[in-house]
Amino acid sequence: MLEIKDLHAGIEGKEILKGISLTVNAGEVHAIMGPNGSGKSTLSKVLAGHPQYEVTGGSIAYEANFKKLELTGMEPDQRAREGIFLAFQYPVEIPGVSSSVFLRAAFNAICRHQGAEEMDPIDFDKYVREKMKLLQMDDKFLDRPVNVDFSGGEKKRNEILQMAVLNPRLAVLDETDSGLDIDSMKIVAEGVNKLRRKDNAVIVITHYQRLLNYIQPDFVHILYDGKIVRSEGRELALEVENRGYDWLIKR
Amino acid sequence: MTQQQMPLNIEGLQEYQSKLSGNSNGWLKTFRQKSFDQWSAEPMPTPKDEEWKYTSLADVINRRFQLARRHQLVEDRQFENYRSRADINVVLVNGVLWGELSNLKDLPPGLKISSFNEALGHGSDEIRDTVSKLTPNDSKPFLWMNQALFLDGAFIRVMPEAEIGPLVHIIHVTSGILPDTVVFPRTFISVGESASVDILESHISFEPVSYLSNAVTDIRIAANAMVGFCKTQAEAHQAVHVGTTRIWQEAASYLDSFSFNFGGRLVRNNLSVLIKGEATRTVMNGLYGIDGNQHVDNHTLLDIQHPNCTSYQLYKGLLNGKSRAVFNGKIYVHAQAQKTDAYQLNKHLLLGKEARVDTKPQLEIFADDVKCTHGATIGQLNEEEIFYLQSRCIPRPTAIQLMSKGFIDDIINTIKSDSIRAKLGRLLLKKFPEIKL
Repeated sequence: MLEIKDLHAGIEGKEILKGISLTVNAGEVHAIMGPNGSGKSTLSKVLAGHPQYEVTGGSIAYEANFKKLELTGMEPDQRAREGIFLAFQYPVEIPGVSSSVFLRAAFNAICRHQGAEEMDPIDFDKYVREKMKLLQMDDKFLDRPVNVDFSGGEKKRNEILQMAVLNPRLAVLDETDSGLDIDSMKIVAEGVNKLRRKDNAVIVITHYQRLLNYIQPDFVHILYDGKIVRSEGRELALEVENRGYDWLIKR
Repeated sequence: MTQQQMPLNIEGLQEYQSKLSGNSNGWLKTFRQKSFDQWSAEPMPTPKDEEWKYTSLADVINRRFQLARRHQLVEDRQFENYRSRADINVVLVNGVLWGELSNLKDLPPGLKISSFNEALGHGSDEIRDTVSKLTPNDSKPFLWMNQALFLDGAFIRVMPEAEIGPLVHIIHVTSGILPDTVVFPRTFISVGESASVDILESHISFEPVSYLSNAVTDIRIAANAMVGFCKTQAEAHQAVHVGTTRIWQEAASYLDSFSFNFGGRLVRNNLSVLIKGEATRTVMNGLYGIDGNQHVDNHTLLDIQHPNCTSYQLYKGLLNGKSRAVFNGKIYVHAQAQKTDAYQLNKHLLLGKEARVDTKPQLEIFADDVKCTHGATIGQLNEEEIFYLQSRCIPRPTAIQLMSKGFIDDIINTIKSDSIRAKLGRLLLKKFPEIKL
């Protein structure tokens, strides 16, 4: 589904990713862990196509719906319509734009892209409310402007709601557990788990292993100084929990 | 006889003025003459005046103006689209009340509407009392010119305790004029104790003709009354509008005001609210949506002379093209006005790269136990917000539409009257089709 080869990328001339290679297949969950400043968030932004980050080398091949695409050079909205979803570490507030208008605009953009008809507003409302129930979200949420005055937990739940509504092929969760209390984290993790299928994949980016107790990864990668320094099964996450990162990076 | 050099060059002024003077009597005659003398003696403001620093009237001063000869609506199709049957419409064409276009019969109990002249003819002391109490604000020459030369006006009276359900819509339409005509719309509103009413004052024109509208509105709000007041200005691209709105607020009254500027080449609004009693609540919101070479200047003054008053002010500007906006928000808190709680914010969204904004909050506080905050922002669309929307499948142009519409909706939604909101929404869509979703 995703094949990253020798990816180099940075911001304002400063190289942050220094040759990352990673293959993700449909049905898999990958965790990317690493200390602060190792390039985890940069990787997520580069995958989503943030305009401030510049890819200086390598490639990101993506395959979904029998289409093979090279992501570098594609606009963020094109990538999203092809099934890439980034759950933001810091979801952005959009004053004046109600959540319901926003969700429908996003959903309809996919419908049009796939050549399908837009969903009837009443049916869409029903569809969204079902997903909201899954995440135990308040009914009034739909009338509120996107993320404005949301608590940290509400913002993160909103990210997963958007994921549920858009039904992506490849979801990248950037520090989705940060700022969440244990109950909210369980709800969010359960939401993600319910969306797992054989034909989609999830990349979980996290500093701590606690989220991985709830979203169990098939592979764990340690990112340090812009490179993946170790890749193993899920037991690696527990080892990091016990021993920290130092033993992995000081050789 | 040599003709006196007037601050504004108006053809046939002497003849017009002597006719006006002949038709007035008593108090009005003196009032007009005094205003005329004051106006004659005061030069027109220039950018050297602090209050006119960013707004030049050079083009106005150098023109020769006509007086309106006819007061008849020429373009009526667009006019009909603009007004709605559910409202109580008070229509003035080039400053003169036009009964056939208005519904002045079968008014709800407690609401009285007449022309200014008729009210004065019946010896209404109310207008005289209030007008003499209100002090001129930052555009004295225009106020005096209006007082000296206005032909007629609308007089709206809400009796004490009356609750007026439908929207009172005062429509000042400029129509059927020669190029470079000057008109003097005049409105007077008096809301009695514990009464409530929603009023929209619209200034519109549909013919592409240049003119100067020098509009004055005086509003007196008695104790415990609740007033929603919105002034909308959506005039021809060639028009210049200088508006003076003076509001007098008595104890425990509530004013929810909104100023909407939209059309015209040059617009200057002077809104002043005088707080003349304790525990008042005042909302002064506004929105300007401009493009091309339009210039909109809003000067507001909130003069708080009594304790325990609260005020909230949010002005927003959406600027496209090379348009220019000026905002100057003065809040004056007198020494005795303790426990004042005043909030002021002025926000702009610049869609045009060459658009320009000059914004200046001006708080003068002489009381020591008050809470006053203010702020101003000028910005282009936030790239992080655009990226967020794009990352949710939304193409960039749609993201920009959504955010611009959001910027506007945020403030339009503070207007409580559905009828006003719908009208403003329609106007905005016509001008910024890019916000339609």
